Amino acid sequence: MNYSRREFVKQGANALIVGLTLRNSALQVFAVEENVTRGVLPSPRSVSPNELDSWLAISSEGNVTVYTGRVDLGTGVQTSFAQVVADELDVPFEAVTMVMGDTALTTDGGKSTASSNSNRGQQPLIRAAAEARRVLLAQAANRLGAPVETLSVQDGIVSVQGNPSKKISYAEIIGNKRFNTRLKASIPPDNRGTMLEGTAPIKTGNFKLVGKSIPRVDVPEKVAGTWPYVHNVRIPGMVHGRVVFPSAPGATLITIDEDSVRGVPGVIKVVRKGNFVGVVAEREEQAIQAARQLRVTWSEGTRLPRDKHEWLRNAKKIKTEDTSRGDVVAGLAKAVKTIRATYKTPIQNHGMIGPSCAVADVRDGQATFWSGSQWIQGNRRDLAAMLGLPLEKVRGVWLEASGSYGRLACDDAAPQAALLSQAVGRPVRVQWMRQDEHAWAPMSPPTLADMQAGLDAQGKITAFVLEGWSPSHSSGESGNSVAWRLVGGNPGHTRLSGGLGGHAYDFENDRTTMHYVEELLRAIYMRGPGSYQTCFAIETFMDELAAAANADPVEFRLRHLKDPDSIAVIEAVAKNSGWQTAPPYSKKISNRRGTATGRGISNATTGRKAAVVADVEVNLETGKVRVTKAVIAVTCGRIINPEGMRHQLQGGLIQGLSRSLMEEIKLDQTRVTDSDWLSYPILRFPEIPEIETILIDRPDSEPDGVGETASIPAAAAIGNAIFDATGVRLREVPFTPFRLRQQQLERQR
Amino acid sequence: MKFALRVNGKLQSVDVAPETPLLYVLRNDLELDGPKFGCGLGQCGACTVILQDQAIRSCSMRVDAVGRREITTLEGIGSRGRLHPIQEAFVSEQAAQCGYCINGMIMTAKAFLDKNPRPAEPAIRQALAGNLCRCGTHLEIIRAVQRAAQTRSASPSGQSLKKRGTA
Ligand code: FES
Ligand code: FES
Repeated sequence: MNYSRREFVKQGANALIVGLTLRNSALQVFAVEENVTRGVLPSPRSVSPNELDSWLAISSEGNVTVYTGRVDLGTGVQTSFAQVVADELDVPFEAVTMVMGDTALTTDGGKSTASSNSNRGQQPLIRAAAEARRVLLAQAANRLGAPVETLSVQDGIVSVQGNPSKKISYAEIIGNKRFNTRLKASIPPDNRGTMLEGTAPIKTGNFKLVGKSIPRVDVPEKVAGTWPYVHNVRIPGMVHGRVVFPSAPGATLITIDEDSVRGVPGVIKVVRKGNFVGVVAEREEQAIQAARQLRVTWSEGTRLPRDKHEWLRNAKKIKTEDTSRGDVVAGLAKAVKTIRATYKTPIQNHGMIGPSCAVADVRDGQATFWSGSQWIQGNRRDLAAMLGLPLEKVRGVWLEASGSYGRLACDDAAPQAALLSQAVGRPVRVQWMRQDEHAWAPMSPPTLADMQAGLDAQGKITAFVLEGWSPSHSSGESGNSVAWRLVGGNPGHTRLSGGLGGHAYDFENDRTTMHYVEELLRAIYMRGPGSYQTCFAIETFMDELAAAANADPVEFRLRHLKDPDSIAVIEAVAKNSGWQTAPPYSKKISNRRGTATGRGISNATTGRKAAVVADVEVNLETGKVRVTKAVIAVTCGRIINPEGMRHQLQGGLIQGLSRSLMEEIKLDQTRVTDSDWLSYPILRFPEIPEIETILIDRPDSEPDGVGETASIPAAAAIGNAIFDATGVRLREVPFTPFRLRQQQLERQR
Repeated sequence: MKFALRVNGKLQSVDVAPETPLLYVLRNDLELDGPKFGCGLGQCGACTVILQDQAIRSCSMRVDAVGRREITTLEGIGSRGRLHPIQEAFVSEQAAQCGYCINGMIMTAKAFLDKNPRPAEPAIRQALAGNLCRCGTHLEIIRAVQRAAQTRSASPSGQSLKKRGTA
């Protein structure tokens, strides 16, 4: 079908597509619109999680449209979702169309995170498909005059076993009609998405599509340039906005000199609301120029600490959580050797390649916005509250953005576009500039971990103690968008997340104390929030303990593990990497020139189990570290799409390597000083190692995402490999050449 | 100011300020969504287009500097129904996660392969060193470029990449 240049401007609650223009787009909602208009698909009626019709519809041509509030963050879930639904319903894969994240069409899916999508996002879809199948089979039994038990389904056609001429298709049964079937939905208070209950049996085996590497539906359009990214939205009458951010976090507006942009062509308005400042212009480059040129004076911002880790230790505590097992004091008393170490991780930026972007149209007491948000419903609630509009008057439509890795858990651009649109009475597109994304995005916060453990004469851990400090990873979430904060009156966000702690080891005496401290900079989840940092501390410490016990790091870990998945992944990477048993840094280098090589292991200690063996090459003169090879193994529950999973694993691991080797947001007294890819570099093609992936299928357990699982063990694997190569122990991420050289010199003293 | 641009084989006229970055003209005036805004600083490659036979960063080129030179965007090398062999290779290798960087990868690879039909792997990495990908799709992208190079050297004309490039 060719949707060349569509412009539907319809009014009223039933309009599927509100004023959207996407050139050449095969946007799924266009397919729905087309089918409803042609009279082959029931128009989406209610957005009630308790109605089967809100989840799934079948056209008179046998196509299945699935509605979900969950969205694809570039990880390919629209393909894997369609796979599981098609399998459950016994229809061809191609028959399924996914409609994602439109508050007028889809129920609240909760926040989409790459990892939770695969389990919590998928559950209601499988359940809805199973219920639909049950209804369809009951009706088929009626129409065919045969008991349900004698029916089988293939490719959407129900037939009587032993009498295949007696058959009826799904389309004939229900095509273009509603199911009118109630479901039982439960919405957990944590906004993690609706779960559905039902009675129909759910497939547990004999899958036709689950487990197959079905090519992703989005890739052909992505390579052709026709994929409907949010950045491509054009609406008749749309103009361009840019935000003028304060000089520093916490700075308040003193004056705006509007004369400073008098000469800029196309400027429509300089917008001010509280401390929020933005400009709107006819053209994008005009808005950019005006935003640059606008003279604004700000008060000085909040003072930022010189040493953020020292600050963490003394910062205002919000909550302390204590979990323990056994008696660590007694355990330490038994030890023949006690080891302590402190580990630090930096502030990091998600680094979306495409900066935040949204379009909003706020007019006549209603608002529509298009956003790459990871939680369009949450975004909508915030936006309605900020603008003072009733919720029903606000519609949010998700369109894919640049991969966000947690960053768009609540989009910041949409509320800004809405404020600007409200001020000029026209649809406004806002895209952040690169420096905005680097300095004003919510970050992954810094962490500090003090570790202590005792070893007995046999080299077993007698006690294991972690004390951690970190701000919450969710302060930039709903209720706390940057625009709303600047406007004032936002409720803030109080949920605490990303605490340090958690591992799979079986220590007799084990204690974790986690101090959540006040916000340093606005923060948001970043792949493995808290887990990446925890894993770095625990798995580096395990390596230090292995060295102290003069034990092989693989064997030392296995000594303390009972969890079968952890053992499986460690054994798998050891085997495939050709691990040679020896304590860390056994081959002691004598030279200070040339390169040294080493290898390290790390084991993802929270969530899904993963292990990595990394090989590194360290330039002893410059301190530059190159990861030459990595082997990663994961257990991940039932695998829906093995190739898709491999890509996710590689991607997650590469991002984890990049974070560990080079990424750190730098601050001066009041602000972030990083503004681009030169000040905040990430891993590039020549530095990408060879990666071997091992998937350990657990068909009986629920599916899970792996992108974040793969990021988590990266830091410790590299750090341990650096130690193995050089005898230098790095206890602070990232492992920059400077840090390595510094530690080398320290050691040589 | 009026400019006549040769884009994807067509002559297009636009009326914009001379210092306007080419990227905004392509995206906003000509509605070509292939090139993307990533940094506006020439650092990431998301905005890459081909100018004559050079991969350039359209965010960092003023529209008045283009002159009569031919601009090719992602849309100009292939379309959904008729993908260019490099695009096909990206599909075969499933070389896209979010895909935001992919325009730059394909356009950079095209200009590179047109000059280096049988590159070794390290040369491919070097050619793409200025293009950033945050999803970690690098290994798939490298394989896609290798595959495209192989397809091309296997094709009888050996020129298929180039010919369709200006179609
Ligand atoms: S947008 Fe042009 S190089 Fe980044
Ligand atoms: S695929 Fe997402 S940035 Fe490359």
